[in-house]
Parts: sequence; C-alpha cells; structure tokens
Amino acid sequence: MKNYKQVFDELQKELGKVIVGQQDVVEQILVSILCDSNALLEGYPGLAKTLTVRTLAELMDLKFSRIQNTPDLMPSDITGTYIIEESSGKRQFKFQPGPIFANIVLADEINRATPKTQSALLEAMQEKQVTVGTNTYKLDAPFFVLATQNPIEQEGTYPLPEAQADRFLLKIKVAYPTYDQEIEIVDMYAAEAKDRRLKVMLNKNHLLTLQGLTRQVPIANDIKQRAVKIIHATRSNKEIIQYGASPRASIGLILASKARALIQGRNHVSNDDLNFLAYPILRHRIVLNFEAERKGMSVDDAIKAIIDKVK
Amino acid sequence: MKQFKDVVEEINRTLNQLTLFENVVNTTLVFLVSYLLLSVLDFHPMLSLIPSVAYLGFYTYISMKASKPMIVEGKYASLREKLRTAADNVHMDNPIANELEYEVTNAMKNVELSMFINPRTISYKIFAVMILSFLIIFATTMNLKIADFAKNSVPNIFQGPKGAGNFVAAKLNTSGDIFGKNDIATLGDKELNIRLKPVDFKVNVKEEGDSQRQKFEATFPSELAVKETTAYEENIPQEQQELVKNYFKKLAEG
Repeated sequence: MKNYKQVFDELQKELGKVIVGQQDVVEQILVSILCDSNALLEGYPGLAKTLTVRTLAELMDLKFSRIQNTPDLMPSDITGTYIIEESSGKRQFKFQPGPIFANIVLADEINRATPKTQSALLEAMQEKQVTVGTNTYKLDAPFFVLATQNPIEQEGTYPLPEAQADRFLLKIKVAYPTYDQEIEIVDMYAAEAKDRRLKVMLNKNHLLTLQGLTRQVPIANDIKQRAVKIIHATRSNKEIIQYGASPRASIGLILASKARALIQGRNHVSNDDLNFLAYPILRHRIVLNFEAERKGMSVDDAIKAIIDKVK
Repeated sequence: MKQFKDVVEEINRTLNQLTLFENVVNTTLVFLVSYLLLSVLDFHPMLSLIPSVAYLGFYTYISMKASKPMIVEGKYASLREKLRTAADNVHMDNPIANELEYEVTNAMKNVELSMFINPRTISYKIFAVMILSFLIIFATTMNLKIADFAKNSVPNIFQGPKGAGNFVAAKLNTSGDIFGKNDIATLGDKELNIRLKPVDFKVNVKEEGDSQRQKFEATFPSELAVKETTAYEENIPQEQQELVKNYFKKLAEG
C-alpha cells in the first residue's frame, strides 16, 4: 500500500509544479478516475480547473480532449460524424470521431450546452460508447469526463437536471486559493516563463490496474452500513431535504471511499473517508426544501447535519 | 488467512470469558446488596434473585452482542478500524486484504489481556462481596429489621401455608378505631407493647434449655366424677323400645 501512496504522492508533487494548492480538488479528481467515473467541477473562472485536468492527463499519459460547450454546439460536434472521403476514385462515408474519443474529456461549462447535446455527452459517460447513425463505437478505456460548471452567469444556461447530474460521481467545488498560495501563483506565472517539463507517472495499464485494486480495498461492515445510513438519511430527512440521493450515491460513496483509502496508502476504508466524500457525493444529488432555503441553509450545511446525525 | 481466523476466534473467546466473569462478579454484588436490603426491610430475601437474574441476563446479552474487535480497537488506537475491517473481510482473498490481515496479526502480538480487565476494580468488587456477606450474616443473626413493609405491601410469595402466628399478624390488627393502636394492646392501666413477628414462633432450642420431665398424679382429684354416657333409648318407654328398634332396622334394610 505504501507503494501506491508513493505513486500518488509523486503524482501530486509533479502536479504541484504547475498547480498551486488545490490538493483536495486533485485528490477528488483522482478518486473519480480510480472509480472509473466522472466528475463535475464547479468553480469560478480562473481557478485552474482546465489546467489541472490537462496536467493530470499529461502525467498519466492519457489522450486528452476539451469540449467548450456553447448553446449552438451539436451532438455530432461531440460524438463525431460521417464525412465523405474519396479514395481510389471512389467516394464513401467515413466516420470522423469527435472529441469524445479520448481518455480524459474536459467538458467546459457543460451548462451552456443545450439539453440535447448534454444528453449525448451523458450517454457516452454512462454507456462508454457512442452511437452515430446505425453504428456503435466503443470508447477507449479508461474514459473519464470531467465537466466544469460556472456558479455565476446563470442566464443563457441549461442547468443539468438532477437525474443527469446523478451520473457524475462527484461534484467538486474548486475554491479560491489562500493569500499565500496566490502569491506563489503570481510568482510562478507572472515571472519569466520557465520550461516546466512534467514526468509521466502512470500509463493506461497502471491506471486500469489501480482501478481494479480500488474495488479490492476491504471495508468494515459498520462503516458500510454507516455509508448507506447517510444516503438513507437524505431521503428520510424531510424537514430540510425535498429530494434525497439514489442508491447510486450509496455505491458511489463506498467506492469513492475505497479509492481515497488507496490514494492515502491505507488498506482499509475509514469513517473519515465517508465524512470527507459525503460532500462531493451528495452535493448535486439532494434538493433542499423551501424551509431549508428560507433559513439560508446551503446544501453543504444539510450534508453536515446528516453526517453529524449518523454516527 | 487461517492464522487470522484463529486470531479473530481467540479475541472473541477471550473477551467473552472476561466479560462473563465480570458480569458474574457484578451479579453477585447485585444479589448481595438486594438480599441485604430485602432482609432489613423484612421482605423475603430470596426475592433478590429477581434483580440478579435480570442483571445477569441483560448484561450477558449486551456483552455477547458487542463487537469484540471494537473493544480491542478502543484500547489500541493503532488498530482502529483495521481490526474490524480485517475481521469482517476474513473471507476476502486479495493482495490488499491479505496485507491488512498480516498487519493486524502482527499488531495483535502487542495486545495484552490486562488492558481489558482492571485488577483494582475487580479486587474492590470481591472485597465488597466479602463485606456484604458479613453484613448479611450479622443482620440475619441479630434479626435486624429497619422497617416492616412485607406484610402490608406485597404478597409474600415464598411463604408457605399461613399458621396461627401469621394469621394474627395479618388479620387482627386491621382497625385502629375499635382496638386502639394496632401494635399496642391495653391491659388495665398499663400499656403492653406487643410486636408480633411471624419468625418468632420458631423455638430456639438454646433459649428453651433442657427438657423437663413432668410428673402426673395417679389419683383423680375429688371434684372429678365418672358418669355413664346417656343414649336415646333411656327416654323411650320400655314397651315402645322394640317398636322403635324394628322401625330403624327396616329403615336400614331399605
């Protein structure tokens, strides 16, 4: 386990050459990758969301692509389309893969795309395949979609419906850096440009092996039961929550906890993992009721109340 | 994996024995305390079996249900969450689970039995058992009672058929208005304080002393006279006696 921890520590150290702070964000992205799932990053512009994902793809030697979502983006712009190709005097249709055919896809500002385009992306996330016309194309493993969302500028956006947001394992909040971190960022990027060469730390095969190991991390029965109780509590706590999380959240919480244990070099899941990951797991899966909103309660406050209640 | 299974079984067995021993000591304490209280309050002392059995049953159930790995983890922070995870996944066979089992098995070598039982507390409890035993012997020998709730409060289920003494104690002193104070009988100008105790009818051989031989007089006193018993025939005239005899004879024959 110490070897795995060393790998992730090295990865974070290497990432630190480009990204200042954001350790929690990086850890949660890694959790999502180890769970073979997708994550939604929410944060204000200029917080290095894209840079973080791009750098991670580079460190893991994965094919990276970026989709900048706009209201006029069509599903075929993501999935790809058939083009007419002329070869040896013959014209024939040839499939031109879209940006979805990569290992890490950064869907920037996903809430700017129309629901039709969003659903094309979400289908690829869920099924790990793309259907164009009558043909179905499998996506290369590993495949992750890291979507970003801007909490401001709500006009002209199409917020993800709860049912679709449920398909993201985590909703990661990207916070502003601290004062010291910002000084470091300024020093790093406002000074003379340096050649920051990154070392490849993992490859596809390593990643697939780590994904397999994640599922092997043992979990105690009482911790497993607590995870399910937390998710259950979101459905039974009608005083503050209108809609609770689905069983997919229970699976996600346990799996994500296993991934975090692996990243931290532990051979068992801890209650701390549940407490830490309950926020990104539940943030986009619960809807507060009017009473909670009237009291000025945020979703994170509601999650905290549930975690404190379920001991 | 088999080695770890043995470790888990040993933990369960040892902690079950320890908790059972502690429960038995505590139950003895509960029994003796309630026995003493019931004795001095004049209840039947064997009623103390009820709280004792209830205590033993309840706490044995609780301690048997408790997760033993959690108890060990409570004493050894280094095993926190690891031991129960390994114990719950003892059937799992993969590199991570095996590593955890190996790690926990090694850490278990440092676990000491003395961490789960406090010799000082146990010594105090055993000392308390001794003191209570002496107090009970003293209280029963001196027939010490500080109150008499038994007869007026609860039915004495352990008592046998009511004797004369019990009847007097339970039935006679019922009305203060007619007979004066229940426990005081007035004899002329003097007050005689009588306290009726059902246990007092028992004869103490030591207090009674040796048996005395009684002498009986051979001759009857002069005021005593022997008289023949009378029968119904004496009042029937001689001539009718045969008739009456035949009547009864026929009556008997049916």
